[in-house]
Amino acid sequence: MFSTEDSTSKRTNKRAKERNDRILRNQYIKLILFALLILLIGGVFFLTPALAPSTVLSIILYFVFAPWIGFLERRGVSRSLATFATFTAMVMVITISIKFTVPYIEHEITSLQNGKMQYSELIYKRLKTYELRLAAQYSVLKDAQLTERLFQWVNRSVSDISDKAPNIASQIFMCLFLVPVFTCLLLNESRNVRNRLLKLAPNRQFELIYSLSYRIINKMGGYVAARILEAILISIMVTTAAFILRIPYAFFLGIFAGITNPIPYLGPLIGAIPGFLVAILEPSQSNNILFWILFIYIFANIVDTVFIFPLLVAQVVEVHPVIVIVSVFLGGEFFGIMGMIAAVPIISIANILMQEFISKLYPDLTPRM
Amino acid sequence: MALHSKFLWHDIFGKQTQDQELVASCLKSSQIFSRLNDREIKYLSTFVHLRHYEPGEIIFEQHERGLGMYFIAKGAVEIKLQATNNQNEELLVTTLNQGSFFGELALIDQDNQRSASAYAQGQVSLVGFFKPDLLDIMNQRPQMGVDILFQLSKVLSKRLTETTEVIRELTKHQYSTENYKGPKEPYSQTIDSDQQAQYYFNEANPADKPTLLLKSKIRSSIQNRIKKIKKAA
Repeated sequence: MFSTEDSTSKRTNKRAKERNDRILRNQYIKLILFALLILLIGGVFFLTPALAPSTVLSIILYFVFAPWIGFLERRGVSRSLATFATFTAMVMVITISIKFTVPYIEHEITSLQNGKMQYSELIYKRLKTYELRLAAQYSVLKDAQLTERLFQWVNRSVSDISDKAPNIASQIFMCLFLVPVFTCLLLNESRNVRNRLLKLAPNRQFELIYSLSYRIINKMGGYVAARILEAILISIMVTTAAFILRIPYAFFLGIFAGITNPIPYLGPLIGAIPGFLVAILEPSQSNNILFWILFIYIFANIVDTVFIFPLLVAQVVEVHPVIVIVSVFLGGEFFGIMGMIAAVPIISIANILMQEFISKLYPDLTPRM
Repeated sequence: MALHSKFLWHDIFGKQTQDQELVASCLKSSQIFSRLNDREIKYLSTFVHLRHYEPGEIIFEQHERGLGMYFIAKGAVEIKLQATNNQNEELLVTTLNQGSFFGELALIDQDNQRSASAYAQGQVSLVGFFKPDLLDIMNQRPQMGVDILFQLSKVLSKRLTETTEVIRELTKHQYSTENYKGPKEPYSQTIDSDQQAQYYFNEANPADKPTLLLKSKIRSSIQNRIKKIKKAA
């Protein structure tokens, strides 16, 4: 009697063990397939040269417009209608802005083109004067012809860029077509796409993957929106101030300062370079222009550091400043300017993953959400 | 199912009409969403997640951090508790059937550790509703969020009443501490000789807090009381 019961129990246990092993194996297979699929999608959209710029731009635009779409949804507007209305409004705003700003920008480009030779001659003369002075002191530099070499290098770089112009033009054309399509899809179908991808996540890891993806998307959304708003405010400040003080190329200076501003720490310095070049090389301007340009950039930077950054960006990135600086330098070292811009979001994703890892190791120390 | 027949292709590209119908009917029949109309149920179904489980598959484990609750769309789920005197042993607390839900505490609890383990009994399809989904709904449709939270509070208050009844029932019975080798206070206060409930002790470490084991009489008495409460509700 006992032996029959024992053998039945052994068989049941064996079956249970086999079933558990099969479930575990399937979970691992599913996890690997899920990871491969995510990598494949990432690879197709982020590493294909034709798609990467459009994808990055669409994601940035998605994060910019998602809060606005959410706001419309809260007021009872359907998501599709909210997306359509937003795009129509955006096209109208862009058209109106172009109508009003194009004459100024056109004027700036024309005067920049006209002044190109003049600037080039001025820079050549000044550099040659310095070189001759140095050559008088150090005989080694007599036949070095540093200025000529520098100008040859600049001309080569310019012609390289000219060679790549058709490629750049085709990329811009591709972006013009793909960015609105991708952005619309993301705005309208992001929840559906996310849920379909999450269906592939294994059951045991589902809650963890969902929680992580939610936190990362939220953090990135907040960061991108904050950075863009910050860049727009900087652009407006610099353009307005330069416009009021009648400094040439006001729009160009403002836009450049805004574009470079998201580069942590070095951005404001890089953004100020064209301003100083204008101050030094523009012969029509009085000597005070250097002071005013210095004042504009310092003022914009102080407003950014004291008000905009703490209110908008610092609340989103919860990483120690030293880690931010190190990550920015490492990003710059390995991936150039794009690496510097991407360093902070990447480090803040790493921070989320690290928090999750620590909460797994010490569940009592860190509440997750 | 861990690797069900529709995995990968159907999950991403396939039409999911059947799944959508299953989700909608599951949500409609649930008490938590009883205040929502058809349009809101349809909207809600874009947030929730349909998951398929194999027989015996773990849905979640006790003490694990939880993200939300599950509704049983198909099949049955076993809820088990770790035996306090033996960490490897699990006691079956209850079996939940189609239409029931579980794990709702994780939806609102800050620390959200699962208080019991859940296992699939047979092929099970569950609809998961998680904290991020609730937060998104509260953000985008505040009225709908309030309706869900109100119903959720009703469920929790009902369960709290049941728990209070269980505790009240327990205090009527007496505890024996004759084998207890740990500190005498405070366990030596409520003793008489009825012996329907007993404290069990960790033999490896007698100083540990003793575990209460319900005897069958108390268990049936509590179950009857709970049935009465449910009827009254």
